[in-house]
Amino acid sequence: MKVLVFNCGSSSLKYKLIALPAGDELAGGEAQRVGPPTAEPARIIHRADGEEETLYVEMPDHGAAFDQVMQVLQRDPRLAPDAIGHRLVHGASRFKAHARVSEEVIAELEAIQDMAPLHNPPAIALIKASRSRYPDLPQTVVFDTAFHSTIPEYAAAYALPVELSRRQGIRKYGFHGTSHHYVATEAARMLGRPLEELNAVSCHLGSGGASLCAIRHGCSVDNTMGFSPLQGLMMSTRCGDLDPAVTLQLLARWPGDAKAVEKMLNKQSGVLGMSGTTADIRDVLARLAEGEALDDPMALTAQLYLWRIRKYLGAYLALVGCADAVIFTDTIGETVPEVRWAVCSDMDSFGLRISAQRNRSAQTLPADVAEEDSPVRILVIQTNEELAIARQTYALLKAA
Amino acid sequence: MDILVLKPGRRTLDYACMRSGQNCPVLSERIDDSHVLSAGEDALSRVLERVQEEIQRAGTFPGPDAIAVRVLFGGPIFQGPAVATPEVLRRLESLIPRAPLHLPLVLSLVEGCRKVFPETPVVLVFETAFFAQLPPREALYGLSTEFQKTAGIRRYGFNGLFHETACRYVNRARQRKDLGTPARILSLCLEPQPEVAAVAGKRPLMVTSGVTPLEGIPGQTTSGEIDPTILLSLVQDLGWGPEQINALLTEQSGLQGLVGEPVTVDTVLRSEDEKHRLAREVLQYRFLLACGAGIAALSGLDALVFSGRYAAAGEVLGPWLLSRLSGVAEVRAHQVSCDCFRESLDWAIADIAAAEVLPLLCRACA
Repeated sequence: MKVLVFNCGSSSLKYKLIALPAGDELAGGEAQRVGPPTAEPARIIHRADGEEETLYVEMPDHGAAFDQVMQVLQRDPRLAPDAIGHRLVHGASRFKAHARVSEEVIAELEAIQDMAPLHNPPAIALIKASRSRYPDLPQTVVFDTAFHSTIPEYAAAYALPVELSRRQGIRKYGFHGTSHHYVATEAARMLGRPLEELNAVSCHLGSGGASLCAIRHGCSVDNTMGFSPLQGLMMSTRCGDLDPAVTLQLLARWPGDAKAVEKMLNKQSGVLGMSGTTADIRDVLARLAEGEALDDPMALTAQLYLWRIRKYLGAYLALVGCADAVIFTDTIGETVPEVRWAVCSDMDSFGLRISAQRNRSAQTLPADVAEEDSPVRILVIQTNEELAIARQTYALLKAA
Repeated sequence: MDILVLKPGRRTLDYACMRSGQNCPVLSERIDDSHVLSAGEDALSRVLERVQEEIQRAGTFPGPDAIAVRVLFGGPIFQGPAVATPEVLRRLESLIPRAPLHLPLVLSLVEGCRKVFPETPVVLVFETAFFAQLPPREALYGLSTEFQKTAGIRRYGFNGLFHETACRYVNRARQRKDLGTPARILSLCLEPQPEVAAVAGKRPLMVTSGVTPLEGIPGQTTSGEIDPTILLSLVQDLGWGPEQINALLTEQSGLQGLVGEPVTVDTVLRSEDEKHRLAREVLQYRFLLACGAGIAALSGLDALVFSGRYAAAGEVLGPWLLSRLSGVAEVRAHQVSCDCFRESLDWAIADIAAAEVLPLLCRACA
């Protein structure tokens, strides 16, 4: 089965055509500058057969982008998809599992649009366009939140009045679910055991967002992101955990303007806000000093970034009990050994012993960077959200 | 040594006459007269005169040798107790914007002490002092460092007195048994707003509360940590303003929010009643996560110690935590002590104040 996976950004559309069950990528690319005209022209960067080309086409919305991508693919009959898998960030409480697209599903997606106002609406527009153009092509929606539907009530609840939480849908949803699920599956494979027997802490550390996931018996039991992707670790432009009194202080500063506060905490804080110069943690880590940094914002930023990951790792290792593995994935997790080192050093109490040598030389992934005698393995696994979505789509359609 | 401990609250003044070596106060009372307490120095002097009368009437407390005033907030300036000299009071005044309700009351109280007990040294004892040297990676947030500096945004910790004395107790006990120091201690202060600190010997490396006690573990009516987006959604969806949200988070949330009626930390931790189940599970869970984080901060664990009003609930919470922490090497090896430090806050304050004031009194006598 050839599954075409779509991953919508607010002004972009990434796509990959993947052959299942093998998992080979047949073609892929990205439509950029989708939406109202900007300084640079809209274009599609397309890869197939080892070649890359750039096509300048008008894409005033995601529906138009979809049409253009399909036209590009249809130039080659070998690239005709058998099914489409759509990534959606937020499934709220309605979608505890991935689903096959139907009129009903589309209606429910529209009802929960506001849960992820930047991400879900473009994806929904895309789904409607693709469904109307290709009504006979099976399509699925795969949610970032679905893997976390197994988080127990006491972990998903906020300590707010129960009635208010219920009415407003306030609970921990968790994100990066597709990635955490994918690397957990790969980890189980590497360790030679079924996913249902895997206990692990998965660290999805991206150049943008980041979250840790506690996994017991192959299921998510907690995630550092919560009601929204703003909670948890400090990220490239997000503050992460913050005293509610500070949020209130900011709301008092901009009365009635929740959007201004949201923008500050989501887009102008984190590594960017703290360092004052860059949103990329890699730039900051290069400046990390040993010991206490008192006045250097860059060094402070690096220390705080690492410290918060370390604390959550400890929290989740405690919660998981007897972990088989700690997994590092996505851009920072896969390519920055200093982060793995800082976070996993002096963690003998949890049975974690990281090998300096293996960690430094982990180029070919997947890799195990723990010492030989470390009870808990430390696995560096390349995430592949599109493959994960394609596999979920394949499984869903095969089961039908 | 006889210490008169004063604990000014929003609408109350608690006082206790503590004698060195005794756990219980010779005399104690809560003065509950908000009208008088906020009316300024003169009114406070009258209150203190009343305290003095009570002491004389009781006849068992000849002192006090010193007066200890518990101050909730000392900012980053006060890293330990301080005898109330004019310089100290000036520095305290500069912190008023950060604690605009509490500090003016403290200053008026000190002034009142000078009038009513002119020969008696006054020691300021700060809840935040123990945490004043928290490492920046723990104390700060993922916001502009400039903004944090000017707005005084950092973790202050709010039960430093309990944590300090509980950890001292643990360290002494370990010394007596010839166990290694510095000990890696998880100090759980079970108060209506609970707080967990990870302490390496005498040095805190982590604390769950933040700029205010609102962050961290859920309290009896406080939410504890919460996704900032939730607050924004209340503004956008329900049109709530900051005051309304603040009231929700500080007075209607926490254990009360989960149970649906007022309830204490102690009741929830001990209860097997279904109506408390969710609250108990949430509270235990948050404590467990904090302990895991603390063990990572300390790179290990030697002791759990409970303090605070509900320290005794550690009898139930301690074993529960240790059973869940069995993946941790020291726990598995039964090398982690678990104690309930049951001394009162008054005892802790008097203890700290006595140590501070002893050199002064010795000099005076010499």
